[in-house]
Amino acid sequence: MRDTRRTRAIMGLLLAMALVLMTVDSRTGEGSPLSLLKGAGTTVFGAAEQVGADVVRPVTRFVAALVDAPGAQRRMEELTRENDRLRQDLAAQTLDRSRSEQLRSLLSTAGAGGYTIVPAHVIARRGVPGFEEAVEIDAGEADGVRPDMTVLSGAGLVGRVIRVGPSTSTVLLISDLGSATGARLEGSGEIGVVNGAGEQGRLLHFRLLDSTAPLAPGQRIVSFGSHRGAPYVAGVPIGVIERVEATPGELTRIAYARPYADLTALDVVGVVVRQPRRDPRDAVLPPAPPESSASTKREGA
Amino acid sequence: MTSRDTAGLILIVAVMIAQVTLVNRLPLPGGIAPDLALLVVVGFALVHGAEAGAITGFCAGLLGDVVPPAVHLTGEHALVLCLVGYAAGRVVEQAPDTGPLVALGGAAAGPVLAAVAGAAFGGVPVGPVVLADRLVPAVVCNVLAAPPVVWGVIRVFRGRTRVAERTEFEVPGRVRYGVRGPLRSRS
Repeated sequence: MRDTRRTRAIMGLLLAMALVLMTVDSRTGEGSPLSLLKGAGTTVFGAAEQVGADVVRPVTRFVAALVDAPGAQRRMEELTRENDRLRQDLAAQTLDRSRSEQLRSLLSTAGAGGYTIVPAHVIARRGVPGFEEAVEIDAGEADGVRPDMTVLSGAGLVGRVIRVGPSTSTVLLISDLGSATGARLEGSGEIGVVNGAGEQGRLLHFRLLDSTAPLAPGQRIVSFGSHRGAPYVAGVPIGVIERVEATPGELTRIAYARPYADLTALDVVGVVVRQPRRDPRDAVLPPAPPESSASTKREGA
Repeated sequence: MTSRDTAGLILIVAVMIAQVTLVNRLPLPGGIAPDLALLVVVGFALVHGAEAGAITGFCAGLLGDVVPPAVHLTGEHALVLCLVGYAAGRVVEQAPDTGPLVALGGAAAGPVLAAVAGAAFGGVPVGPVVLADRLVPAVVCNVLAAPPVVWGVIRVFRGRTRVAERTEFEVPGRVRYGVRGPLRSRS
């Protein structure tokens, strides 16, 4: 064939370009020429996706309604039951509230304020092609969103912001196979790491760092929290342990957890743009060791 | 840039946006969605041959690397689609009758190549979880979606070129499938 040599040359060139791009991207990280390209892409296509998402939202809702139809009746009954229970709870809580107000003023935490959360819609989702679990939300730099901020839904932790455009930002979900989230067991406070484990994001993999600590189905996991709340603030519920793997002789224990947030059908999420001036009471972090004193001590010894 | 390339580019951009805003968010059983960009590239390569397939694949893949939300390395998807476009065009140039088979093969090979590229460059932990949970459903879904999508893409692109060819004279099937030869002019 006449063109074969030319085609092969072009093919080789393209492959080499792809490899160079990947190398540049993986080596330079932030501040590389490619982040400019990505930034431009986020700006242009983010805007296009916002428009697109508005157009297709009715379609998505309709299909969701169709798919959910068989379970709708059962779900309605469940919700009615839950509603009744919640109404009773509410009545009880009204009684509790006045007491709780007094307690709070006593603890003088009221002035510290809570989390400041910016609500956002999910406008785009990335699935299998790059084997990544990521969504695009319609809140960006203009709304005060910055990289490494916690994203949560009404039910629990969703993920973290990894790239921010002018009016949209990219969120890496906790169900991504390559992401790792610090977590602790509620109650015992044992520390572990959460990442994606399959079932298309309906299951999480929890690795408990202390192999001797008790771990049982039904226990809940909350986010561990990091320094200054980036990328995850402390105490956000992640999921509930479903089954524990038997791993005799290993240094860590492995369990599978069901996430509270429905990571496959996310719509409204919130970005924690500011955290309270002090940590929530249920997740007290150890104070960070003062670095200067540690280094001088090492020099002295 | 010919009108063919422009049409291809516009189609790819529209497909990319539709993919992330609509297709990926549909609550399909199994939580999977067909990779439309891959199928468009395969269809384009079936019509226009290996060279055009490779170039279109590269451009479409690069676009896919830039369209948010993207977490993988830039160039990863470009590499995958470039390879698929080239291979599909090459096979159909050699054996023009294997079009449907090539379409299905390309649709199945895309996720597999993506997994390999992800494991080699992007740090995707390829293990039983990825294989059973993501790769197999993705391949199945792509293969199911391939016949209608690829057929539609072929109709879109070949519809244009055929009219131009018919005004001259009957061309052998091999040329009609898109090998750039003396019969076809390209500005």
